[in-house]
Amino acid sequence: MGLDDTTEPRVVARNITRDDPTWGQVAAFLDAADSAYTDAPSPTQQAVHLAAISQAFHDDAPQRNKTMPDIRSRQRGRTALGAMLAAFVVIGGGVTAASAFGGLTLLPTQQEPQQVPAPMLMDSEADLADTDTGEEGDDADEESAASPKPASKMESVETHSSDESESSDPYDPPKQTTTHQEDEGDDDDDASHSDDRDDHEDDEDHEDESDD
Amino acid sequence: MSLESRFDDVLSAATDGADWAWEELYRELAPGLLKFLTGQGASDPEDCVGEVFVHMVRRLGTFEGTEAQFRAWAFTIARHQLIDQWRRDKRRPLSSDRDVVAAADRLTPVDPEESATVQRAAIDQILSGLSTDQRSVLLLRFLHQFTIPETASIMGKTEGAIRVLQHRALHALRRTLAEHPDDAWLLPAAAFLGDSQ
Repeated sequence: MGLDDTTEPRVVARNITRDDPTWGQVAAFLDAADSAYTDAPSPTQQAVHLAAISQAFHDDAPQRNKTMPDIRSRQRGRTALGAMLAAFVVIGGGVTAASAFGGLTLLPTQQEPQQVPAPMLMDSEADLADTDTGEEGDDADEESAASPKPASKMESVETHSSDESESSDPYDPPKQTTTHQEDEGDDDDDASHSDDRDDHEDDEDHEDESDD
Repeated sequence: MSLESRFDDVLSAATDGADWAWEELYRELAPGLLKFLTGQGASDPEDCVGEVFVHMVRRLGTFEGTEAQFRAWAFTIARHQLIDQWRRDKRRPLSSDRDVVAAADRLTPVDPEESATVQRAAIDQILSGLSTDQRSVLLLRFLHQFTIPETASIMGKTEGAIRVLQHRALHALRRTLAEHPDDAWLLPAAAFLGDSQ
Protein backbone atom coordinates (compact mmCIF):
# COMPACT_ATOMS: atom_id res chain seq x y z
CA MET A 1 0.00 0.00 0.00
CA GLY A 2 1.47 3.34 -0.98
CA LEU A 3 1.06 6.90 0.01
CA ASP A 4 -1.88 8.59 -1.60
CA ASP A 5 -2.94 12.20 -1.64
CA THR A 6 -4.88 11.82 1.57
CA THR A 7 -2.43 9.73 3.54
CA GLU A 8 0.75 11.68 2.95
CA PRO A 9 -0.56 14.96 4.40
CA ARG A 10 -1.62 13.03 7.49
CA VAL A 11 1.83 11.54 7.82
CA VAL A 12 3.39 14.97 7.36
CA ALA A 13 1.12 16.46 9.98
CA ARG A 14 1.91 13.49 12.21
CA ASN A 15 -1.73 12.54 12.43
CA ILE A 16 -1.02 8.87 11.86
CA THR A 17 -1.41 6.75 14.95
CA ARG A 18 1.07 4.08 15.86
CA ASP A 19 -1.46 1.34 15.37
CA ASP A 20 -1.90 2.25 11.72
CA PRO A 21 -0.94 -0.99 9.93
CA THR A 22 0.87 0.72 7.08
CA TRP A 23 2.44 3.89 8.40
CA GLY A 24 2.19 3.51 12.14
CA GLN A 25 5.76 2.36 12.48
CA VAL A 26 7.00 5.31 10.43
CA ALA A 27 4.98 7.67 12.58
CA ALA A 28 6.41 6.10 15.73
CA PHE A 29 9.94 6.38 14.36
CA LEU A 30 9.51 10.07 13.53
CA ASP A 31 8.18 10.70 17.00
CA ALA A 32 11.18 8.91 18.45
CA ALA A 33 13.55 10.92 16.27
CA ASP A 34 11.87 14.13 17.37
CA SER A 35 12.36 13.16 20.99
CA ALA A 36 15.91 11.98 20.49
CA TYR A 37 17.08 15.17 18.77
CA THR A 38 15.95 17.68 21.36
CA ASP A 39 19.34 18.94 22.41
CA ALA A 40 19.73 22.57 23.18
CA PRO A 41 23.13 24.23 23.22
CA SER A 42 24.82 23.92 26.58
CA PRO A 43 25.13 27.11 28.63
CA THR A 44 28.82 27.18 27.84
CA GLN A 45 28.15 26.89 24.14
CA GLN A 46 25.48 29.55 24.34
CA ALA A 47 27.94 31.95 25.89
CA VAL A 48 30.54 31.14 23.24
CA HIS A 49 28.06 31.63 20.42
CA LEU A 50 26.71 34.90 21.76
CA ALA A 51 30.21 36.22 22.19
CA ALA A 52 31.02 35.22 18.62
CA ILE A 53 27.90 36.99 17.40
CA SER A 54 28.86 40.17 19.18
CA GLN A 55 32.40 39.96 17.90
CA ALA A 56 31.27 39.31 14.34
CA PHE A 57 28.95 42.29 14.46
CA HIS A 58 31.66 44.67 15.51
CA ASP A 59 34.31 43.19 13.25
CA ASP A 60 32.13 43.32 10.16
CA ALA A 61 30.51 46.71 10.73
CA PRO A 62 32.35 48.45 7.85
CA GLN A 63 31.50 45.67 5.39
CA ARG A 64 27.94 45.43 6.58
CA ASN A 65 27.43 49.11 5.80
CA LYS A 66 28.24 48.41 2.18
CA THR A 67 25.24 46.42 1.18
CA MET A 68 25.34 44.43 -2.01
CA PRO A 69 22.92 46.77 -3.85
CA ASP A 70 25.24 49.71 -3.04
CA ILE A 71 28.28 47.87 -4.31
CA ARG A 72 26.55 46.81 -7.48
CA SER A 73 25.19 50.26 -8.19
CA ARG A 74 28.68 51.69 -7.83
CA GLN A 75 30.03 49.06 -10.17
CA ARG A 76 27.38 49.83 -12.71
CA GLY A 77 28.14 53.53 -12.44
CA ARG A 78 31.84 52.97 -12.99
CA THR A 79 31.20 50.59 -15.86
CA ALA A 80 28.83 52.97 -17.61
CA LEU A 81 31.27 55.83 -17.22
CA GLY A 82 34.06 53.72 -18.63
CA ALA A 83 31.91 52.74 -21.57
CA MET A 84 31.10 56.34 -22.36
CA LEU A 85 34.73 57.35 -22.20
CA ALA A 86 35.73 54.46 -24.44
CA ALA A 87 33.07 55.42 -26.94
CA PHE A 88 34.20 59.01 -27.03
CA VAL A 89 37.81 57.96 -27.52
CA VAL A 90 36.94 55.72 -30.44
CA ILE A 91 34.62 58.19 -32.07
CA GLY A 92 37.10 60.95 -31.53
CA GLY A 93 39.82 58.81 -33.02
CA GLY A 94 37.65 58.05 -36.00
CA VAL A 95 36.88 61.69 -36.60
CA THR A 96 40.55 62.59 -36.33
CA ALA A 97 41.49 59.87 -38.80
CA ALA A 98 38.80 60.97 -41.18
CA SER A 99 39.87 64.57 -41.04
CA ALA A 100 43.52 63.55 -41.49
CA PHE A 101 42.69 61.77 -44.72
CA GLY A 102 40.54 64.65 -45.75
CA GLY A 103 37.13 64.66 -47.38
CA LEU A 104 35.91 61.46 -45.75
CA THR A 105 32.64 61.25 -43.97
CA LEU A 106 32.65 62.46 -40.41
CA LEU A 107 30.45 59.61 -39.27
CA PRO A 108 32.79 56.67 -38.98
CA THR A 109 29.97 54.34 -38.11
CA GLN A 110 28.81 54.40 -41.71
CA GLN A 111 32.11 53.37 -43.25
CA GLU A 112 33.90 51.60 -40.46
CA PRO A 113 31.30 49.77 -38.52
CA GLN A 114 33.86 47.43 -37.15
CA GLN A 115 35.56 50.18 -35.20
CA VAL A 116 32.44 51.41 -33.48
CA PRO A 117 31.69 49.68 -30.25
CA ALA A 118 27.94 49.95 -30.79
CA PRO A 119 27.42 46.19 -30.55
CA MET A 120 29.53 46.11 -27.43
CA LEU A 121 27.24 48.69 -25.87
CA MET A 122 24.47 46.15 -25.98
CA ASP A 123 26.43 43.52 -24.15
CA SER A 124 26.79 42.83 -20.48
CA GLU A 125 28.04 45.59 -18.31
CA ALA A 126 31.06 43.73 -17.06
CA ASP A 127 32.41 43.32 -20.57
CA LEU A 128 32.23 46.98 -21.47
CA ALA A 129 34.82 47.93 -18.91
CA ASP A 130 37.38 45.64 -20.48
CA THR A 131 37.44 45.92 -24.22
CA ASP A 132 40.32 43.48 -24.44
CA THR A 133 38.11 40.58 -23.53
CA GLY A 134 36.58 40.82 -26.92
CA GLU A 135 33.64 38.73 -27.78
CA GLU A 136 34.51 35.43 -26.25
CA GLY A 137 33.18 36.34 -22.84
CA ASP A 138 30.11 37.89 -24.44
CA ASP A 139 29.27 34.69 -26.23
CA ALA A 140 29.61 32.71 -23.05
CA ASP A 141 27.33 35.11 -21.22
CA GLU A 142 24.77 35.04 -24.00
CA GLU A 143 24.82 31.28 -24.16
CA SER A 144 24.37 30.89 -20.47
CA ALA A 145 21.61 33.46 -20.42
CA ALA A 146 19.82 32.04 -23.42
CA SER A 147 19.85 28.44 -22.44
CA PRO A 148 20.38 27.83 -18.79
CA LYS A 149 21.15 24.22 -18.23
CA PRO A 150 19.35 22.54 -15.39
CA ALA A 151 22.51 20.76 -14.39
CA SER A 152 24.52 23.95 -14.15
CA LYS A 153 21.69 25.61 -12.32
CA MET A 154 21.64 22.82 -9.75
CA GLU A 155 25.38 22.91 -9.52
CA SER A 156 25.28 26.62 -8.92
CA VAL A 157 22.73 26.03 -6.19
CA GLU A 158 24.88 23.39 -4.62
CA THR A 159 28.18 25.30 -4.73
CA HIS A 160 28.78 26.67 -1.31
CA SER A 161 30.82 29.20 0.50
CA SER A 162 34.19 27.81 -0.45
CA ASP A 163 33.31 27.75 -4.13
CA GLU A 164 31.22 30.87 -4.53
CA SER A 165 32.23 33.79 -6.69
CA GLU A 166 31.12 37.33 -6.10
CA SER A 167 27.66 37.18 -7.67
CA SER A 168 25.77 34.35 -5.91
CA ASP A 169 26.40 33.90 -2.22
CA PRO A 170 24.46 30.92 -0.89
CA TYR A 171 24.40 32.51 2.54
CA ASP A 172 22.58 35.60 1.33
CA PRO A 173 18.90 35.80 2.19
CA PRO A 174 16.71 34.38 -0.55
CA LYS A 175 14.84 36.82 -2.70
CA GLN A 176 11.26 37.29 -1.61
CA THR A 177 9.71 36.65 -4.99
CA THR A 178 10.87 33.23 -5.99
CA THR A 179 9.05 31.04 -8.40
CA HIS A 180 9.32 27.34 -8.04
CA GLN A 181 8.44 25.35 -11.07
CA GLU A 182 7.09 21.97 -10.33
CA ASP A 183 9.14 19.36 -12.00
CA GLU A 184 9.06 15.92 -10.57
CA GLY A 185 11.80 14.88 -12.90
CA ASP A 186 14.23 17.11 -11.09
CA ASP A 187 14.64 14.67 -8.30
CA ASP A 188 17.01 12.49 -10.21
CA ASP A 189 19.05 15.49 -11.22
CA ASP A 190 18.83 16.89 -7.74
CA ALA A 191 20.01 13.65 -6.26
CA SER A 192 22.91 13.38 -8.64
CA HIS A 193 24.02 17.00 -8.49
CA SER A 194 23.60 17.68 -4.82
CA ASP A 195 26.44 17.36 -2.41
CA ASP A 196 29.23 14.89 -2.88
CA ARG A 197 27.75 12.36 -0.52
CA ASP A 198 24.89 11.42 -2.80
CA ASP A 199 26.93 9.89 -5.56
CA HIS A 200 26.23 6.33 -4.82
CA GLU A 201 23.06 7.03 -2.98
CA ASP A 202 21.49 7.69 -6.38
CA ASP A 203 21.90 4.05 -7.22
CA GLU A 204 19.96 3.15 -4.15
CA ASP A 205 17.26 5.63 -5.02
CA HIS A 206 16.90 4.19 -8.49
CA GLU A 207 16.80 0.70 -7.08
CA ASP A 208 14.18 1.77 -4.61
CA GLU A 209 12.03 3.22 -7.34
CA SER A 210 11.36 -0.21 -8.75
CA ASP A 211 9.91 -1.28 -5.44
CA ASP A 212 7.38 1.51 -5.55
CA MET B 1 9.78 30.47 16.54
CA SER B 2 7.40 32.60 18.52
CA LEU B 3 8.50 36.20 18.36
CA GLU B 4 5.42 36.93 16.25
CA SER B 5 4.44 40.58 16.64
CA ARG B 6 7.79 41.45 18.20
CA PHE B 7 9.81 40.03 15.36
CA ASP B 8 10.21 43.28 13.45
CA ASP B 9 11.38 45.13 16.54
CA VAL B 10 13.79 42.38 17.48
CA LEU B 11 15.14 42.21 13.95
CA SER B 12 15.60 45.95 13.80
CA ALA B 13 17.43 45.93 17.10
CA ALA B 14 19.60 43.03 16.00
CA THR B 15 20.53 44.97 12.87
CA ASP B 16 21.72 47.73 15.16
CA GLY B 17 23.75 45.23 17.14
CA ALA B 18 21.66 45.02 20.28
CA ASP B 19 22.88 42.06 22.30
CA TRP B 20 19.45 41.41 23.78
CA ALA B 21 17.98 41.08 20.31
CA TRP B 22 20.57 38.56 19.22
CA GLU B 23 20.02 36.62 22.41
CA GLU B 24 16.34 36.39 21.61
CA LEU B 25 16.99 35.30 18.06
CA TYR B 26 19.50 32.78 19.33
CA ARG B 27 17.09 31.36 21.89
CA GLU B 28 14.44 30.98 19.24
CA LEU B 29 16.56 29.45 16.52
CA ALA B 30 19.48 27.65 18.12
CA PRO B 31 17.65 24.59 19.49
CA GLY B 32 15.98 23.89 16.17
CA LEU B 33 19.19 24.41 14.26
CA LEU B 34 21.07 22.11 16.59
CA LYS B 35 18.35 19.51 16.25
CA PHE B 36 18.51 19.70 12.49
CA LEU B 37 22.28 19.52 12.32
CA THR B 38 22.44 16.66 14.79
CA GLY B 39 19.79 14.79 12.88
CA GLN B 40 21.80 15.26 9.71
CA GLY B 41 24.83 13.68 11.28
CA ALA B 42 27.00 16.75 11.56
CA SER B 43 30.31 15.95 13.19
CA ASP B 44 30.26 19.18 15.20
CA PRO B 45 26.71 20.48 15.24
CA GLU B 46 27.29 23.06 17.95
CA ASP B 47 30.13 24.60 16.01
CA CYS B 48 27.88 24.74 12.97
CA VAL B 49 25.23 26.56 14.96
CA GLY B 50 27.75 29.21 15.91
CA GLU B 51 28.81 29.59 12.29
CA VAL B 52 25.21 29.97 11.21
CA PHE B 53 24.74 32.96 13.46
CA VAL B 54 27.99 34.55 12.39
CA HIS B 55 26.88 34.34 8.78
CA MET B 56 23.53 35.82 9.71
CA VAL B 57 25.21 38.71 11.48
CA ARG B 58 27.18 39.53 8.37
CA ARG B 59 24.16 39.50 6.10
CA LEU B 60 21.35 40.64 8.32
CA GLY B 61 21.25 44.04 6.67
CA THR B 62 20.20 42.43 3.40
CA PHE B 63 17.38 40.40 4.88
CA GLU B 64 13.80 41.45 4.34
CA GLY B 65 10.94 39.21 5.18
CA THR B 66 8.76 37.58 7.73
CA GLU B 67 9.69 35.57 10.75
CA ALA B 68 9.03 32.34 8.86
CA GLN B 69 11.33 33.46 6.07
CA PHE B 70 13.97 34.38 8.60
CA ARG B 71 13.79 30.93 10.10
CA ALA B 72 13.99 29.32 6.67
CA TRP B 73 17.01 31.46 5.88
CA ALA B 74 18.73 30.28 9.07
CA PHE B 75 18.15 26.67 8.11
CA THR B 76 19.41 27.34 4.61
CA ILE B 77 22.65 28.62 6.05
CA ALA B 78 22.79 25.65 8.38
CA ARG B 79 22.45 23.25 5.49
CA HIS B 80 25.21 24.97 3.57
CA GLN B 81 27.41 24.86 6.63
CA LEU B 82 26.68 21.18 6.96
CA ILE B 83 27.61 20.43 3.39
CA ASP B 84 30.80 22.45 3.73
CA GLN B 85 31.63 20.44 6.80
CA TRP B 86 31.00 17.20 4.98
CA ARG B 87 33.25 18.25 2.19
CA ARG B 88 35.96 19.10 4.66
CA ASP B 89 35.53 15.88 6.54
CA LYS B 90 34.87 13.80 3.42
CA ARG B 91 32.53 11.73 5.43
CA ARG B 92 29.67 9.67 4.23
CA PRO B 93 27.25 8.67 6.93
CA LEU B 94 25.81 5.90 4.78
CA SER B 95 25.72 2.60 6.44
CA SER B 96 24.89 -0.81 5.10
CA ASP B 97 22.11 -2.96 6.35
CA ARG B 98 24.63 -4.82 8.43
CA ASP B 99 25.37 -1.67 10.35
CA VAL B 100 21.69 -1.22 11.11
CA VAL B 101 21.47 -4.74 12.41
CA ALA B 102 24.70 -4.33 14.34
CA ALA B 103 23.33 -1.22 15.97
CA ALA B 104 20.29 -3.12 17.08
CA ASP B 105 22.36 -6.06 18.25
CA ARG B 106 24.39 -3.82 20.48
CA LEU B 107 21.33 -3.13 22.54
CA THR B 108 21.59 -4.56 25.97
CA PRO B 109 19.66 -3.71 29.11
CA VAL B 110 21.58 -0.77 30.46
CA ASP B 111 20.84 2.25 32.58
CA PRO B 112 18.45 4.81 31.11
CA GLU B 113 21.14 7.29 30.21
CA GLU B 114 22.97 4.79 28.10
CA SER B 115 19.67 3.65 26.63
CA ALA B 116 19.05 7.12 25.33
CA THR B 117 22.46 7.08 23.69
CA VAL B 118 21.75 3.71 22.14
CA GLN B 119 18.38 4.94 20.96
CA ARG B 120 19.98 7.95 19.32
CA ALA B 121 22.58 5.76 17.68
CA ALA B 122 19.91 3.42 16.33
CA ILE B 123 17.91 6.34 14.96
CA ASP B 124 21.05 7.74 13.36
CA GLN B 125 21.79 4.43 11.76
CA ILE B 126 18.32 4.11 10.28
CA LEU B 127 18.33 7.66 8.97
CA SER B 128 21.76 7.18 7.50
CA GLY B 129 20.23 4.55 5.25
CA LEU B 130 18.38 7.31 3.44
CA SER B 131 20.00 9.56 0.91
CA THR B 132 21.21 12.89 2.20
CA ASP B 133 18.44 14.79 0.52
CA GLN B 134 15.78 12.35 1.67
CA ARG B 135 17.02 12.73 5.20
CA SER B 136 16.98 16.50 4.92
CA VAL B 137 13.43 16.53 3.62
CA LEU B 138 12.24 14.26 6.41
CA LEU B 139 13.84 16.38 9.10
CA LEU B 140 12.69 19.67 7.65
CA ARG B 141 9.16 18.57 6.87
CA PHE B 142 8.33 16.31 9.75
CA LEU B 143 10.48 17.43 12.62
CA HIS B 144 10.64 21.13 11.88
CA GLN B 145 7.31 21.41 10.06
CA PHE B 146 8.53 23.53 7.19
CA THR B 147 6.18 23.84 4.28
CA ILE B 148 6.98 22.50 0.83
CA PRO B 149 7.97 25.94 -0.53
CA GLU B 150 10.11 26.64 2.52
CA THR B 151 11.81 23.27 2.27
CA ALA B 152 12.42 23.85 -1.42
CA SER B 153 13.99 27.19 -0.65
CA ILE B 154 16.22 25.74 2.05
CA MET B 155 17.40 22.91 -0.12
CA GLY B 156 17.64 24.89 -3.32
CA LYS B 157 15.29 22.60 -5.20
CA THR B 158 11.92 22.85 -6.89
CA GLU B 159 8.75 22.12 -5.00
CA GLY B 160 8.10 19.16 -7.23
CA ALA B 161 11.49 17.72 -6.41
CA ILE B 162 10.78 18.11 -2.71
CA ARG B 163 7.50 16.24 -3.08
CA VAL B 164 9.22 13.41 -4.87
CA LEU B 165 12.00 13.30 -2.29
CA GLN B 166 9.47 13.24 0.51
CA HIS B 167 7.53 10.44 -1.09
CA ARG B 168 10.64 8.36 -1.63
CA ALA B 169 11.95 9.11 1.83
CA LEU B 170 8.80 7.84 3.48
CA HIS B 171 8.78 4.68 1.44
CA ALA B 172 12.47 4.08 2.05
CA LEU B 173 12.01 4.62 5.76
CA ARG B 174 9.06 2.28 5.89
CA ARG B 175 11.02 -0.36 4.04
CA THR B 176 14.03 -0.01 6.33
CA LEU B 177 11.94 -0.24 9.46
CA ALA B 178 10.11 -3.30 8.15
CA GLU B 179 13.36 -5.04 7.27
CA HIS B 180 14.88 -4.40 10.69
CA PRO B 181 12.23 -4.96 13.29
CA ASP B 182 14.68 -4.54 16.14
CA ASP B 183 13.19 -1.42 17.56
CA ALA B 184 16.20 -0.03 19.32
CA TRP B 185 15.01 3.35 18.22
CA LEU B 186 12.01 3.11 20.47
CA LEU B 187 11.95 5.03 23.69
CA PRO B 188 14.60 3.78 26.07
CA ALA B 189 12.07 2.21 28.41
CA ALA B 190 10.64 -0.02 25.71
CA ALA B 191 14.08 -0.99 24.50
CA PHE B 192 15.19 -1.76 28.01
CA LEU B 193 12.38 -4.23 28.32
CA GLY B 194 13.68 -5.92 25.17
CA ASP B 195 10.51 -5.29 23.24
CA SER B 196 11.66 -6.42 19.86
CA GLN B 197 9.70 -7.71 16.91
